[in-house]
Amino acid sequence: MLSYETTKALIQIEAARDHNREVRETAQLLLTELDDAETGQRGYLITGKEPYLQPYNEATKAIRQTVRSLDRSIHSPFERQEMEQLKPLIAMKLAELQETIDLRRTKGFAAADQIVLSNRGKRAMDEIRKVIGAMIGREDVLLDQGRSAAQSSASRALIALAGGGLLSVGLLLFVFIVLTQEIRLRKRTEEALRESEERLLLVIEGVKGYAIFMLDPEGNVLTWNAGAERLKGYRADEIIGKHFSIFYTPEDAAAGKPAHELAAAEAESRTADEGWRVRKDGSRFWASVTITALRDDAGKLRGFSKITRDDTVRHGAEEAAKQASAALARRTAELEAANKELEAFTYSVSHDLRAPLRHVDGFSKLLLEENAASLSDEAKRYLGFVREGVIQMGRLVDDLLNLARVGRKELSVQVAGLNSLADEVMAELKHDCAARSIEWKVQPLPFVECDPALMKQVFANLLSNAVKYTRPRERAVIEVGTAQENGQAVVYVRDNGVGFNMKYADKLFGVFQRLHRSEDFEGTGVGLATVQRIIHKHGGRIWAKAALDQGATFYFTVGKAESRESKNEI
Amino acid sequence: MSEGDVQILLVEDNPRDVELTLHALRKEKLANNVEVARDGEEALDFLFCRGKYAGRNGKNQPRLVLLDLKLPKVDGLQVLREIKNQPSTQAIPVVILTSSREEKDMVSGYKLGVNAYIQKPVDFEQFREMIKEVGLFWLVVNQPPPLAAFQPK
Repeated sequence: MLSYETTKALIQIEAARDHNREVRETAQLLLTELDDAETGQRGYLITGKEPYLQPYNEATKAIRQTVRSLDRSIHSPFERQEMEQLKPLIAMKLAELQETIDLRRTKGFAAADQIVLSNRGKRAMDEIRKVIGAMIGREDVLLDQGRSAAQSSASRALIALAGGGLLSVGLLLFVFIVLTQEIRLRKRTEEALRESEERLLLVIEGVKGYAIFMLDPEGNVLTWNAGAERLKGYRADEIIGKHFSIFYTPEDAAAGKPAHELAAAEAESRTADEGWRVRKDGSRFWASVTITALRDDAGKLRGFSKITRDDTVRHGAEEAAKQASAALARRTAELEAANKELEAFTYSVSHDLRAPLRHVDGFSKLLLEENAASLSDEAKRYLGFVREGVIQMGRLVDDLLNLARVGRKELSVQVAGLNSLADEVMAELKHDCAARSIEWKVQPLPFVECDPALMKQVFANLLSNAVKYTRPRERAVIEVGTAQENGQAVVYVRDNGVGFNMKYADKLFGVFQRLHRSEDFEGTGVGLATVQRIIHKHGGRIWAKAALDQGATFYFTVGKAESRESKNEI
Repeated sequence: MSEGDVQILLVEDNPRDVELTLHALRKEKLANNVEVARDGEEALDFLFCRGKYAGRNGKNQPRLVLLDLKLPKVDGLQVLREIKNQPSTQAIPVVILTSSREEKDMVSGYKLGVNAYIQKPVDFEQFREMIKEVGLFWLVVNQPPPLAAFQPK
């Protein structure tokens, strides 16, 4: 029976220690609460502001509770005696606190201060501290004694174990000690866990931006937070127990999407999805959804958590951007197609127009040559006009053909010296107008990355224009050079010809736009349009400065300049 | 080459162009022995002595083919391809004479081995000048391919 006695003693010792511990902690708490009450009182006395009374009110309420629970837990005569000392002291202290507060409120600071200065409250508090201090000190001693008693009791049990060979009892003892400790530990852990779970639930319930809820393994709603109510429109009591497929569009539900998503979450532990979902009122929103499978320690599926966010705005913006970009791509493709078609049409028309023109010209000419005798002078003059018209139209067709070709042509880019290109053009022009007095001034020009055949056309157009529009000048001056315009190197072609009024400058590069009468200066109005198209194809710009009768200067840029080509090279 | 042998094969479907071309050749006294084919098939029949030309002596090939590109039935580039593919015809000088200066056509023509590519000018004076130069060059200045050039390797 030794074992039973020993065990019983141990249980008693442990119970006593639990009691000592409780008394000690409650006494300590009481002291803290008294301090809080005093702090609140002081704050109010000094400031006279009501908010300072809140900690005071809370503390006094707590003090009364703590006194009651301390009163309940004590049972030894010592403790009872101390408790009887403590009660009037606490009452005195609380009365003093309340009195000063009332005085401060009704008569002001000085009146309250009189009581404080009387040290009534301080003395009471000092006494309380003394009694509680003694109480705590004694409980500490008792706790120590209890520990030694438990140890010696256990030792005795071990001795009995060694002597009596009662293995089972020894084990029992050991298990008991371990268990009491374990139970205490677990109790604390469980409490902590429960508290943290409660806090988490509170947080989740309060979340408004996200619908967060749980489903059982079949997909029925188990929990419901504020966000879910806000997002989906159901109150918790309306939706809990209902199947979550109610949130899906009828199409998705019919296609089995809810079951499919649960299966995916179960298989991969988590699944994410975006799509339209339905609110209680039938309206739809674009949801961003995550479903996570919840399993217990054994791996058994216990349900799912589902987090849903309303992404309608973002989705709308994305869709709008997508649609805008698709529309733009479509429009670009349409424009490109239209452009190609237009160029193909221009080409075909120009091409097919040439044959009849050739016939009109050819047979007019033959008529003039072979039937000259039977034709009146007037008939000959008219035939002359016919041929002039044909030649003009032939040029027009050729220019249009060229413009269309430039538009369609892929640039074949290489580094070319602009001086060489200009020189080739000038050689032809000099040959054609040998009778005129033209001074050519050519500066060193850069090497540029360009399509040389097209760039030669630019010079051909600009220089032949310069030759044409300086025709009234006795001495024409045509310059080709480079200049800096807004920090950029530009090439220019300048003449001292008839120029033009700058108010028509915007018409300069338009197809069929002419600033001069054809009796004065022949032309088709396609040349500068072609030049501009070539420059634009090279990523450059072209513009002109002129004044009526003061000459004209055409400026253009082409890609990036490589270096200067020296006039004296080669 | 005997008198009456065809010197120029003009492949041209447009009768006005035929007339203007013949007129220009006549002026240079080059029009005596010109055969006109009005489409690609007729041109090939002539060169390969088929159809209505079955009785023609294939040894007497023309010294020049003036070839339009836009032709009914078999187009000009196809005619050129067949001429340049066959040993019996590949040595014949072929000059493309067309309204088109389409780069694609020029590239195809040269790749198939055309001997010259000329765009018909609208201006009749220039056209006549061009025909004169082409005729004189190929029939007078140029040394024609010897007979062996028409034999298979």
